[in-house]
This record gives sequence, structure tokens and C-alpha cells, in this order.
Amino acid sequence: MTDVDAIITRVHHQEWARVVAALARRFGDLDIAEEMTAEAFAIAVERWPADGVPPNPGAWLTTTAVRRAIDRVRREAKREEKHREALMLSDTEPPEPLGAIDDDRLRLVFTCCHPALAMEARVALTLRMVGGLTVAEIARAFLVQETAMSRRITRAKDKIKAARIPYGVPLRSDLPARITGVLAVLYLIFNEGYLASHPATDPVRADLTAEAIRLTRLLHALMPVDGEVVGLLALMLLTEARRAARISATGELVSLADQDRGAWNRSLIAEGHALVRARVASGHPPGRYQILAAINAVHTDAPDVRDTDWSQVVALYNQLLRLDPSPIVRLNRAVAVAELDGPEVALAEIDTLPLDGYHAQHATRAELLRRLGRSAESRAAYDRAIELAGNSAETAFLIRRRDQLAGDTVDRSDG
Amino acid sequence: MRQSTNLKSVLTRPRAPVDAVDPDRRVVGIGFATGLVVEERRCLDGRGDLPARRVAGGSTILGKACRIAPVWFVARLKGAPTAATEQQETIRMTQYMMSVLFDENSGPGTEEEMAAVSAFNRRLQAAGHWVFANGLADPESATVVDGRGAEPVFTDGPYIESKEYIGGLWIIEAPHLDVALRLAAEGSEHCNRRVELRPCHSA
Repeated sequence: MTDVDAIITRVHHQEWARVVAALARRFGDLDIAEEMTAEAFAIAVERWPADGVPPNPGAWLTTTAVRRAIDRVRREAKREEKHREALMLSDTEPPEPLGAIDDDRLRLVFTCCHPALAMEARVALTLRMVGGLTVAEIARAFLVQETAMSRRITRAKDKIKAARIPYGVPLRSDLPARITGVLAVLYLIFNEGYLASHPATDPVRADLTAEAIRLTRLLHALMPVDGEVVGLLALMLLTEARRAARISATGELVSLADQDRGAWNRSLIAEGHALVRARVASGHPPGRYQILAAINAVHTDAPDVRDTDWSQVVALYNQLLRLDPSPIVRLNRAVAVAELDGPEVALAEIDTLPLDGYHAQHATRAELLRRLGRSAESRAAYDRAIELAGNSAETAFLIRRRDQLAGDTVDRSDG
Repeated sequence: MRQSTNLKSVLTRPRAPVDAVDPDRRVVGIGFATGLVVEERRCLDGRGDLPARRVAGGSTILGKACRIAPVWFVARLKGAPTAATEQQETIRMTQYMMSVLFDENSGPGTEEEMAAVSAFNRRLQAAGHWVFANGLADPESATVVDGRGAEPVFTDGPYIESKEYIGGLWIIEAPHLDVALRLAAEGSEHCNRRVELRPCHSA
């Protein structure tokens, strides 16, 4: 990669969303914004190696994209009156002060993550418009044909126009729910990277986790006072910090207890801890992501798994249960309960949960039954977990654990 | 009632109280591409506050019109008695259909539901969102008509038999989807049924 290539890559990361957002605001059209921004970058790739990188690359790109857009709108205005009437609506109401800088990128994020769009459309649109990923990259990330992904994005943009989804920061009374919606999109992108749901992809997709963190950092820069944005960023950083230790050399998932904690990324942990501490110090009651971040802070604070403050973990899960009394939270709480009160207590809790189709319930049961010496039941639970798991590293881990069970050889010869 | 203040502030944000000078006339939107000014006339004919619209062909936009972007700009009306001093941000409204979804178990609306819907309708009218609303008779009372041939063909019953059907509808006007979604949520709450919100083609 030449210097100019490296600069273009960096500028693409830094400026893509800004250029798209500025054009979307000015032209009221996401198609034009997206296509002309892509064109401006294509021109940069062509010209910068010969002409040199302009002193202000972002301004150069915006100007170039705006010029192209004006040409195109002029051409289309002549032959297509209808087009203008379908323009996207831009902010009808100046946003209430959010303690944030007024940035077009924030409008872009809220528009792409609008709750009237299907979740998969929100994810695709956010990665394309805000993240600057190509349609081919997004299609690959979610194992969808490129044409299908392209249709998905086009349909979302069409709905934005037809239904007049505003290009703006939500009404103040809608804001908390809308922020939650944006965070759900970013967390989904991160999780798909951290524990890819499909056996045909790599088990961990560092490109997706990195993109999710980059987008969350952007949101955090735009809305620095929102506690849940801080919480999600901290949660991602503290999870990402363990990524290298999470998959073994043989491609197996390594459980938290068995991870080489020396391989954890200390600087990400330090950053995550600082964010969590700042939220705790603020005295505001934490939301879901802040509590999850705090739980991860407790784990990453322990030099050895035996040093983990399990009572603190259980207390945090209790707090989370009050906000989100879902079976999945209870399942995760039970894992901590097993460390504090023993596997029998945890097992009794898990057996009441309606999660029969969820691999993690069976995997957790299998581990608890194993500790209680109930090998046959443990084996059956591993079998069911393996059947349901989608991630290749997790499947490999579960198979090895099952095959290590005491009495394994006896069972085999019997069978 | 909890949202009415907010909605009102979204919908009517005159820079100056236009209605104070000519209560009968105010600019509510501008057909941007065509340059037509759309006026709202309030018909105070005893049936309530039903806005009707007409295109004011003779008016001219004096505000600075960007030839590229549909950025809402401040417009004045030339020739209108109030024009010289009044400025108002224009809001283009979109119509949405809110269909009320019934199923086999729906039954007729209860008295409480009817009262709640009436109260909601009055608020829609007061805030300028109202275009039309009515309940529909049972799907069995429908007739499908095909007039494309030499003689029209009439078929008894709905064109599609389904467990869910549209039991009533509203047509509302809102500046954008976020406002329409809030109204739809309120409508659903008041009629105690799910509603489907669907935009009409912009005029």
C-alpha cells in the first residue's frame, strides 16, 4: 500500500459519513448522497496519487461530491419532475439541545436506524451510509447475495422517501427510545462480529467488531452525555479486549475461565474501565448497556478467574433483571450464581427457563451437570447444544467438552 | 392529551401570528417543484374546524428559493393582505392512511372505545391532522366490481377472505413519519386495535 492509498483509506474512515450526511441534508436524497460520495472517493483514488493529497481532504471530497450532485440534479430536474416531489424531508424542527454538537451525521444515524425500518434494513443501511462499507462487503458479512443486499438497501431508501421518514434528530419525547434503537443496531453488528451466527463464516469477524466500535465511538462523540451510549462503548471495548484470547490456536472457543488473561488488550480494558467509572461517578441510574459494561468490568478486573468478585456480578445481574426480566438475563445470571452458590442452585434456576431452542441454555446445563458428576445428562445436554449452535468455534468447543466427559469410553463401547 | 402540545408546536410554528391578521388564510405548504402555494382555508361552518385546501394560483413566492434543494425556506405571499409583514416557515404535509385491523375475535367497539375514538378524532381536528375517518361495515357486506369488460361483473363478498380485515380507517396529515407514528400509536390505543400506517403518494 502506498502512502496515498493509506491516506485515502484513513480519509475514507474519517470523512465518509460526514460527506454523505452533508449531501443528504443539502439534497434531501440518500441515493444522491451515497452515490456522489462514492464517486468523489473514486475521483480521489484516481487523482490524488498524481496531483497530491489536497490540504483539506474532507472539504475537497464534499465539494467534489456536491458538484457532481448538482450536475445530476440539474439533469434529472429536466426530465423528471416526480423525482423532486419524492425528496426526503429534512429536519422539520430544530433539535432540542442534546448536549451534543449539531452534526449532520447524527441525523444520518437516526434516519438509518429508524424504527419503521426492519432491523436487517437498519443494519445494512447504517453500515452503508454511515460506515461506508460497500454493498458487496455488507452482503459478505451477512452471507446474502450482493443483489439481494442491494435490493434490501434500495427498498429501505424507498421507504424513507415514500413514508417521509425525517432526516433529523427525533422529537425530544421520542429520543430515549430512538437512542435505544440505534444502540441495538450497533450492538447487533458488534455481536455478529464477536460471535458470528453462521457456521460458514469465520467464528470471529474482527472487521465487524471494529466497525461497530468505530460507529459507537462516533455516536459517543456526537452524544457524549448519553449514559447508555457510554455504556455500549464500554461494553464493546471490554469485550473486544478479550478477542485474541477467545479462540484457541485450533479454532476453538475458549471459555472466560480458561482464557490467557495476559493476552487481553490492556489499553482497551483501561479505556473501558475509565468509561464505566465515569458513569458510576455520575450517580445516574444505569441502563442496560451500562450494567452489562459494569459486569464486564468486574470480569476484566480480575487477574485470575479465581479473583472474580462473583457476588458483585450477581448483584449487577439482579439490577439488570429489574430492567429486563428476560430468560436470557436469568440464564446469564445463573452462570454467576453457580460460582457463588454452587451448580445445583444454578441448575434449578436454569431448568425453569423457557429457552429450549437456545444453544446456550443447553451448553450451560451441560457444564453444570458435568460439575455435579451427572455425565449422561450432561452428554445429552451437550448433544442438544451442538445441534443448535451456529458458530464453528463454539461447536468445536462443545464437541471437545462432550468427548472429554467421564465414562466416555464406557458409553461408546456400550453404544 | 399528553402529546398534543408537542404536536401543535410541530405543526404550527408561525414566526408571526398570521391568523391574527387574517384568521381565514394562512400558508401551510409550498409545492416546491411547481412553485404553487397551497393555502389552508378554515371552514368554520358549524361542523367543526375542517381544513380544506386550494391552490392559490395567483400568488407568487418571494422568499429565497434554492433551486436545488427542498430546504424549507421562509416564504411570503404577494397580494395577500397579510403578506407584507408575515413570514412563516412552510411545512409540506403528507397524507397517511391508518387502517384499523380487525380479526375474528374483534367484535364491535365498546362504548368506552367509541368515546375514546371520538375524543381522539376531536384532537386530530383541533391539531389540523384530520382528513377523514370512518368505520367500515363487515367484509361480508362488500361487493367486488369489475367494470373492465363490456358489462360490469358484480361478485358478492370481499375480494380476499382472510382472518384479519380492515374494520375502519383514518386519513391523517402529518409533516413526517415520526408525527404520523405517534398519531397511529394514539389511534391504536384509543380504538384498542392494531393499526397499519401507510403513506399516500405525495400529491
